[in-house]
Amino acid sequence: MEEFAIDLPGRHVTNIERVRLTRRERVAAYLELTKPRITFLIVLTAAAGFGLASPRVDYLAMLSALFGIAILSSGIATLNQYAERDLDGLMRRTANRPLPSGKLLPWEALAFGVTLTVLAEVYLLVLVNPLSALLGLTVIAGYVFAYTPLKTRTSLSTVVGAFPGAVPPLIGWAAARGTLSVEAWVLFAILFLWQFPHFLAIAWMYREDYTRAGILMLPVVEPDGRVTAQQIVLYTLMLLPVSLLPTALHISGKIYFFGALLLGLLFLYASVRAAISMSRQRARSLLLASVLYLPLLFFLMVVNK
Amino acid sequence: MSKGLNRFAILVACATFFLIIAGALVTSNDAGLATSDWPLSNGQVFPKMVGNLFWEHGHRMVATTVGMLTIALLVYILVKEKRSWVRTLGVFALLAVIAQGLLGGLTVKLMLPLAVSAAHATLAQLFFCTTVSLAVFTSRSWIQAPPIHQEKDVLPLRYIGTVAVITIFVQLIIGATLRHSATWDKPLPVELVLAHIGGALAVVLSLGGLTITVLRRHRGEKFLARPAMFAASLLVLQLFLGLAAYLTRLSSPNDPQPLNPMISITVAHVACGALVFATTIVLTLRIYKVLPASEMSSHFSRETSGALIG
Repeated sequence: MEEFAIDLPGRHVTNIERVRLTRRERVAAYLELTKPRITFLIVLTAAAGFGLASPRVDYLAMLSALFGIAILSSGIATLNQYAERDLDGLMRRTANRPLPSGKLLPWEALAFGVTLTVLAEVYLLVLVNPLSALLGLTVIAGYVFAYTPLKTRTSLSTVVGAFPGAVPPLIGWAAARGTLSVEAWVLFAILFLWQFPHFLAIAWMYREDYTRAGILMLPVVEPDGRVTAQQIVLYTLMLLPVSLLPTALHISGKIYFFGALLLGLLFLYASVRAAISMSRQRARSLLLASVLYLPLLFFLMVVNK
Repeated sequence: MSKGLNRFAILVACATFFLIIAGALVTSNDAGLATSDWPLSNGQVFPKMVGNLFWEHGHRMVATTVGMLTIALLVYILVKEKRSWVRTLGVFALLAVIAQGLLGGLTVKLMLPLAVSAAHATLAQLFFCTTVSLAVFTSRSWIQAPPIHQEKDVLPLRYIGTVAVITIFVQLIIGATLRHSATWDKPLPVELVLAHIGGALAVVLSLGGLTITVLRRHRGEKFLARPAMFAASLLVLQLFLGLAAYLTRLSSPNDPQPLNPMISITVAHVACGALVFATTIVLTLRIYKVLPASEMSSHFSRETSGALIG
């Protein structure tokens, strides 16, 4: 068996034999490990942070910082899949990921993830600035070593995970300025709150999957969905005033203010609809609303700064 | 096994932790030269605790107490303990605390040269590690821990643990050097900041790898899983404290003197660093205790070479 087991034999993934792949498929599998869509969204929020922090944007510096952040995000996504390969195999939504499906071996993912993470950190440290690298480290530790192990232990893991999840705009900001100010923390707060309706919608849609894998998301612990519904609405409600703060702090102008208000109300509408029916379809609409809301909000913020 | 001895060893370890905080407060308050006198303070055994002398003399008093406690601990060990290596470790603890006291005096006498101050801060961590180890070795859970049915064909945990301990120790040395080469009113030395953040990355990878592997392989074994969870939580906390320390430090050159936010955050960063180190040592020692070595490593090397060749 072509297998290098770094963990307990007898577990699911370590017993999977590698699937034979063409070179192209292998590259695609490695690419899939980096979760390109999430990485793209993270780079987008970091770009917003960078853009808002610079009075005049230095595009070369921005590109360089975003490159480092993209590599870091890819590395963390890979390490996360390495750590969760057994759980992923138990869930329909993730069973086809490169590790549980046997397209790649665990040690390949581990080596790939560690290489990307180290490269990204060294890149940020040397070519961007120490603060961005330090922030990157808190994301690695918070995501891989706090959020991931807590997922199977408590439903509060989402709260823990929301911290590193909200750091990317801070990294963008730090890359531009070398320090953090109140405005940067407002971006952090927006992203922090945004994650709750976003993740709870996902958790509601895939609650059976999560139950099977023993991941204690809120809808798993509390299957009738009342608390989930309350939290979805509550966090979206909190997000609305916080999303207006950039105008109050003179990061953005009036167009942003009214745009953010409109977007916030639409997002709230989707949340309330999802909360009332708690159907899979409404949860999906909320998920869609959340992934449209965030880039639009940050786009408005940057163009109207 | 003596319950009393174990409790006393825990007391000494806790006192040492308190001593590290007291020492860190001296550095953060920039109080190292509150008196140029040593061992007396301004020619007195007990001077008036005014201004920065409060921190410096306070540190000396806590240190004296820990010294006395270490002597008592050694006597207790020599009376109660039969394992010769534990007795040797007790002697080593006393020698370390004496050397540490002398280094502290030298720091003052030589007006805080970087090498001596950094060595004083590093030896502090080594002494703390010794007292924590003594508390572990004299505990009931250590003495009665049965070997775990060990796993084969995997990277031995003791290797990962040892790497994590060494990495953390090196990181502590870099941290101490960084701290003592730039007080609040001086610019931060860039190379040392880079080295310390690079070290933090190495610690995140090694200690993170250790805790995740322990939790995956031995979730049910509280003896190992508990310190692993502790270490991971402390590591995350430590990174946030480091970030906070850096941010407050960046804004400090304009301060008239070290201000409270920076003092408390940097001291918390030092203290948490000591706790990360101590917890990792406890975890690694326990791994050595319950996971027998010989079979594991021979299996591992065979499998590894097989995998690498094939």
